[in-house]
Amino acid sequence: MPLMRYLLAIIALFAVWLLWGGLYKTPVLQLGIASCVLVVWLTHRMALPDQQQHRFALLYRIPLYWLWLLWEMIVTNIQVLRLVLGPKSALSPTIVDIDASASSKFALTLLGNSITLTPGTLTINIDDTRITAHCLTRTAANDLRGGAMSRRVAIVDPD
Amino acid sequence: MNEILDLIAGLLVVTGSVFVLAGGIGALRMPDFYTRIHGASLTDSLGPVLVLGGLMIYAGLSLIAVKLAAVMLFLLVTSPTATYALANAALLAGLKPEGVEHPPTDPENPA
Repeated sequence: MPLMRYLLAIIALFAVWLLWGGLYKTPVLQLGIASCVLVVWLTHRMALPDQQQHRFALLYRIPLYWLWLLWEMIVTNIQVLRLVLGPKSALSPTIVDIDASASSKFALTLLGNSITLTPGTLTINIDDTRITAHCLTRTAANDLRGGAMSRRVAIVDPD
Repeated sequence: MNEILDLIAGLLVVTGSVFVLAGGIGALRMPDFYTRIHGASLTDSLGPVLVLGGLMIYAGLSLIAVKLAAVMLFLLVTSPTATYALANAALLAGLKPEGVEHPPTDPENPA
């Protein structure tokens, strides 16, 4: 349904316009609608139609995943804070390969970014079948190998 | 009530600043390029989340809080992408991580 998609795009852009501007006078709103329509028309002219599937389940799955990720970030941030201020002998850099052959492009991006976002693990290479991560300690590497993060990403994006 | 909220907001901002400071220390103290990135990544994960979260509490329920939330969202999506670009560029240029147990296979010619 391309028409539905353009309508949704206009509505989303206009919602952002309202939030960013905070000015609710008629000429401003008219300008806003006009520019949203213009942007969608320009996008339609210059880009290939968006091939990606839009699944509305992501609307609630992603915030739940973010909450879990926030908790992971708190835990790993404190670990890395102690490593940074502590002795260098506590470091044991390790490279881990994570199998990601079943993942879609979206899931690969989400997993790769989440690994980088939690300090102590760093995505250094992604191809279609695996993610290579550099870990600050052997413990962090083993946590990553445990696959808790991959499983949660697979729940967010099941394909 | 307002004093308590201001206090929580202040505490969050100060804690976030501690993480950002530790990120700077980490980038200087760590032994090699990849571990330095780990140290520096403290500055763009929990640090800004705490600072912006504190500012959101300080701003209260308003458009400013929405904008701060948007800044946080963009930061959390773009900064790991930039970090990946940096780390992957180093890997492709052939920089080997120091002291690593399982060295990575060369991404251009996997064994």
